[in-house]
Amino acid sequence: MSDLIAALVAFSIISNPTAAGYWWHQVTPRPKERQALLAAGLIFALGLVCIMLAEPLLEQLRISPGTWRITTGALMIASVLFAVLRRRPFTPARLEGEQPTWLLPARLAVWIYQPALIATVISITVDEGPRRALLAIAFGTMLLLQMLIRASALTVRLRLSTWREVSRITALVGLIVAVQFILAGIYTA
Amino acid sequence: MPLVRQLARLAVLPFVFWLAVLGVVRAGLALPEGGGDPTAVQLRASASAAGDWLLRHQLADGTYRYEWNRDTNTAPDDYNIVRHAGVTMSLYHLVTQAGDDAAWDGAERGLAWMLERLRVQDNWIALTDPEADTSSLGSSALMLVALAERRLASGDEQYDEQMRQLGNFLVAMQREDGGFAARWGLTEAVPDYTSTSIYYPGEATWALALLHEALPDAGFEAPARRALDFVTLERDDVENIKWPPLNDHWAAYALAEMVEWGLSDDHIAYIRRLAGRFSLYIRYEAQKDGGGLTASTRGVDNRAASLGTWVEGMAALWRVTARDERLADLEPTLHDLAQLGAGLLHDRQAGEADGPDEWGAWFADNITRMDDQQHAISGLLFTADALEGDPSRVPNRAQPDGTATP
Repeated sequence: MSDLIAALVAFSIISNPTAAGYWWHQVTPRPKERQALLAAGLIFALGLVCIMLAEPLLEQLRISPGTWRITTGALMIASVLFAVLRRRPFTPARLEGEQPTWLLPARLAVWIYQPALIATVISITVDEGPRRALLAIAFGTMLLLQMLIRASALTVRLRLSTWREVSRITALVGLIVAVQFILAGIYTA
Repeated sequence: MPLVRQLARLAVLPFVFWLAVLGVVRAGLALPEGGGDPTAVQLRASASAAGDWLLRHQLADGTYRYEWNRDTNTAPDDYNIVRHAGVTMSLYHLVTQAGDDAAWDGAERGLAWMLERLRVQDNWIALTDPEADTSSLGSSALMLVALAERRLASGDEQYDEQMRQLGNFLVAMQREDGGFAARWGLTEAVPDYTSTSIYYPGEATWALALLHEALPDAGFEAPARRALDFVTLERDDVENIKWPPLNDHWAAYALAEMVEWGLSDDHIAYIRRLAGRFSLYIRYEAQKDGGGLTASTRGVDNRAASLGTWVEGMAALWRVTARDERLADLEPTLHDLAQLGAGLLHDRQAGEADGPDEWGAWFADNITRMDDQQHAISGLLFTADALEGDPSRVPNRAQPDGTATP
């Protein structure tokens, strides 16, 4: 697998579009394309911030890219455990009262960017360069957007409980990515 | 309940969870790495100080102080002929890589001691401990490297015949698979093929490579290539290295020399693996100097004889990346890692304030051994070249400002 494809796969799996679609559908059962676009834009923008901060952050923390790969793998494992060991993962809390329209996309973006995904973007940036990191984020964001837009349609074919378990499995696939990052941290310069 | 309070309540559990995870990760995995950003001038000065320590502690017969405990002020009655050759080699490195003329005289005394201990047989000679019943491959290989470095530094060809005959010994010890017997049995007068060494083949490979560079028509290219194939492709299996690749800085030196000859894709793959190994070791070592809780999680510092070899290996592999486009992507990473490791050596070296007995040396548990200085000197010098972007082996000349230019 080329390094670019590996970066695309890593971002796409750790951002878990299946779980994002499941989360989104629970709070917006009816399609809301404008909000989905806003969410995707926020997710892309937060990714850009991670890219810009990657090198200065590692320099400030005095951590080399190889060590960061191991760290990223560990955070991915923690993220997977946090997701799969909960009884009802990927379930957004209901808020009472009226909410501004930007709040839902913002909540999704913050929910997506857990430390594991932030670490992944940083790792891709310092290892593969900002351009490839940007491509990975763009590709992953497109997948997320598709899931948000089609979330309601998917529920016609998929029961919510089944969807949740599929999301759990997608999260578990993250373990494979995590191991790859840890091995890369151990075996490559 | 107001919206802000609702959002804050929602964030509590994830926030606490990730705060705990990040704390554990920072304390256990993502530790800060010490080492600073030393300059080439600082590294050469550090290497010269180590060379001065070796010269101050060299005995009249040309041997070096093998080991010294600064706490008890005791030195064991022990010596190692392979390390003698290695230390002499590093003194010649000081001459070639830093233009340090003071090192020349000490290296010459060390060389004279070796020239008095050559066993002559058939068409070869081997550096041999008079009290031993075998000649080791490693001592002759490193003596040959020392002579090659001497030739590079001075252009003096007076020892070309000895170099050729040492090369003949290495070839006589070479097995069909390209590997080497580790020892020659003096009584039986045959190679002891039951003996092995994990590092001697790398030393012999580098020595043969340098010999071919010095004497291109002497017929040592083919043995060097066979040796390189063995070291890079088979050695780890043959020697049952538990966690390959073996951190073999000698192989890295050989590759840095032979990159001009053309390396195969298998060699390139090996270089990537080897760079990964040195990287892991240097990063782990650097985490010990990062401050905070690291002392309790990363253990005591490795001695300079270990760290120095990793820096040597990293700097040698950097030279390969600077010359082979297939490895160009690794160049900045290896540059930074060599600097990181060299920075650790620089920081850990005893300074002038520690007094003349200690100044320039590295101590672990209050003990310094001559190969602590040997490996650190070579690692620092080749890293200094890397910091200046110079992968060549053209001898450097010391400049008044501390830089060294060809």
